[in-house]
Amino acid sequence: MNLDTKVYYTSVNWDGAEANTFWNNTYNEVGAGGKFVIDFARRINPSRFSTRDSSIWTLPWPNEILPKYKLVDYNPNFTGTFFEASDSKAMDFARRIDENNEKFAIMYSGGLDSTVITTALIKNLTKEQLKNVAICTSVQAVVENPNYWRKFIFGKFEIIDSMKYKYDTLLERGYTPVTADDGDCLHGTVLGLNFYHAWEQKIGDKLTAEQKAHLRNNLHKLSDKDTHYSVFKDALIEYFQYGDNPWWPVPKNPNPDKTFGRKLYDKYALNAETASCPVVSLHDFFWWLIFNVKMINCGVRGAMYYNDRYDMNIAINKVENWYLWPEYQQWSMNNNNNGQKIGYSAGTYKKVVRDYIFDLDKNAWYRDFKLKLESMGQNSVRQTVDTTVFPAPMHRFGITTDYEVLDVLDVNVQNYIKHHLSNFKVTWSEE
Amino acid sequence: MSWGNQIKEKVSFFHMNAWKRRPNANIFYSPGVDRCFAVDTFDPYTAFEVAKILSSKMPAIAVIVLHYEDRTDVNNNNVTNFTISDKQVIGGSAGLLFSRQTPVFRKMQKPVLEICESMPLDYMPGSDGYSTFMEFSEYTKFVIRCWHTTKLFDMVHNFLPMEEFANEYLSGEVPQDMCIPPDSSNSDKTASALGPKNEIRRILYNSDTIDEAMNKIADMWRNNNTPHSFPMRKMFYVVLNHPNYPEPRDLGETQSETDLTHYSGYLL
Repeated sequence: MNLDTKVYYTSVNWDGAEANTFWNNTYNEVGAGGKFVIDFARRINPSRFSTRDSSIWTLPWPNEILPKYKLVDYNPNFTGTFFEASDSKAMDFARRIDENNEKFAIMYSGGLDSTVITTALIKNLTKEQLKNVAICTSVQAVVENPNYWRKFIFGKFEIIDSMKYKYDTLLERGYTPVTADDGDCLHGTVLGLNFYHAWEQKIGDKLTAEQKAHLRNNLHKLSDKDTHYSVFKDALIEYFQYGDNPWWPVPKNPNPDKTFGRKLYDKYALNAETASCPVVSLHDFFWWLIFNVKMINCGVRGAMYYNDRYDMNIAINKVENWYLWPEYQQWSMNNNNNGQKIGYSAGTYKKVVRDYIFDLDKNAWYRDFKLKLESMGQNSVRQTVDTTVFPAPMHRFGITTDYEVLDVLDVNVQNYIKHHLSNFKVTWSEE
Repeated sequence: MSWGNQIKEKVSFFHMNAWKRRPNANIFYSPGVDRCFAVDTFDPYTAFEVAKILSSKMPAIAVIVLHYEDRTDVNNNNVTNFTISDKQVIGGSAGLLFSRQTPVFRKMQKPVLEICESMPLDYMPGSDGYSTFMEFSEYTKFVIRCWHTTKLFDMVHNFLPMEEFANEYLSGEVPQDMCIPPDSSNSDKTASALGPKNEIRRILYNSDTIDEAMNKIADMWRNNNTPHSFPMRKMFYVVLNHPNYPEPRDLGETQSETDLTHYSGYLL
């Protein structure tokens, strides 16, 4: 690689060890722009963000949008429903089974997004077609929805333990891995849910009494199409500021940038203002962050971090991101602020998803009580990575446009990072 | 059943320590020595678990829930002076003296505590039996303290009790070869696959002295030093609050580590 190498994907990862040393040393060597990038990874660990459309989101390194994830053109006249998108995606699988005898391994966590996949397939595929479907899952998934497991999964599908077997094994066995990891991207983000439901604990002591009253009086409009997200600007700036006592492996910044929260807000806001579809309400704002600037990470991270042996080009493009289906993407851009994505409590997040699953399982407990649980964090895969051959997962810095995986401990990669961070400027916000 | 006023329900009478009915209601009795050896003011369920842990050393331990009218001057300083008057309390199919290695649990319907002027002849002070019994009594008090602490840190910090759910709630419904982590400590590579709570229970079951148990527990924390075992360990030593066994210095100064090559929980 050289300094002009273009990348599809990058990640500022903390590992609590050598990577921390590198990023901490680099932090002290670079200017405000480079510092912002590393501080970003203190606030949102790890920092892996890039735009999928022409909206403004500057990165330090030469980059291109990973073709698979390029955002479809917004169609304001789209009238399709979430139900229709789910059924049509399942029917596409049916076609591929019939035409190519393709085998699918569904990454099933028991959460809402992956349960949509199994539900859609059970609803739309024949018994014969379902023989080409395996369920890759873990005991956490069983516990997350035992009723569904008992009724629809256990004894009915081949089960593959996702805590033992990763994407490379699935690919080697001839499966197309199917992930719902991009499901959140359609609806919103934990970053938003934490702000809506726990802002008082997180930033209450940093806001004035007047600011707190303002937030309390307006938060019920979080999904109001006529209330612009900037109404919440003061609180969001405080919310985006990284903390003084980060949790391992994120290191503390001994000289914290007190303006980081404002810079991050300005960066997000500029991206939202230049989005290819309307971004108005507070929930639109958080939705757009994950739908646009985080979705490539949600789509790629399986192939990137739960796969060692398989060629990255094939792995990324072979892994099936269920929600990348164009009908879902259009539905997501056309159905904000109508109650389908979020209500006023955490128990109504992804309302339309709950309804779709209920249509099959009739489980009101799950429909009305299910909460967003971070399956990725729970499913701690017991990875065995031969680090003499492959970079350790937390050291995988990026993917070039030639699908080469970059190791943050590689000196050439480190020089590349330092060069570009040194030249990076904060152009979207005041210093 | 309304269950509106729990204090009047029959279940409540198994909780003699509750609602200020009386202190030290759960008493540990040895049928072989014919003396009590510890009292407990917390819940009956944990008291019974403590008796199971102690069953590696003493058979047929009886955990007796004392009647609310029974004498209340018994405590952990004088408990070995007491016995119970009814040696043939029936529960299940056997009386206390004809029970098994595993402990029994009984709720008394009347006062049974009696103070004794001396130890039984075979366990008089100066005898081997006496010193063994007194050491066991001290170990029991320690196990009560340690096991409560262990259950508390596990309840607070074990956010993925998957083994418990797989085995106790979903038995037969999880494929047999599926990976079932014992808890959220993610410590299965550096030490045994048991997890801290199960490790401590096993250590308490197998150790002969407090010193041996605490040394093994310290080693267990050293070998299970992960980001998610870190708060468990901190809480363990704080709540245990044992003057002779604070958190070992080398552990206190060691920031937890994890093998991120192995554990993927940070790869969000």
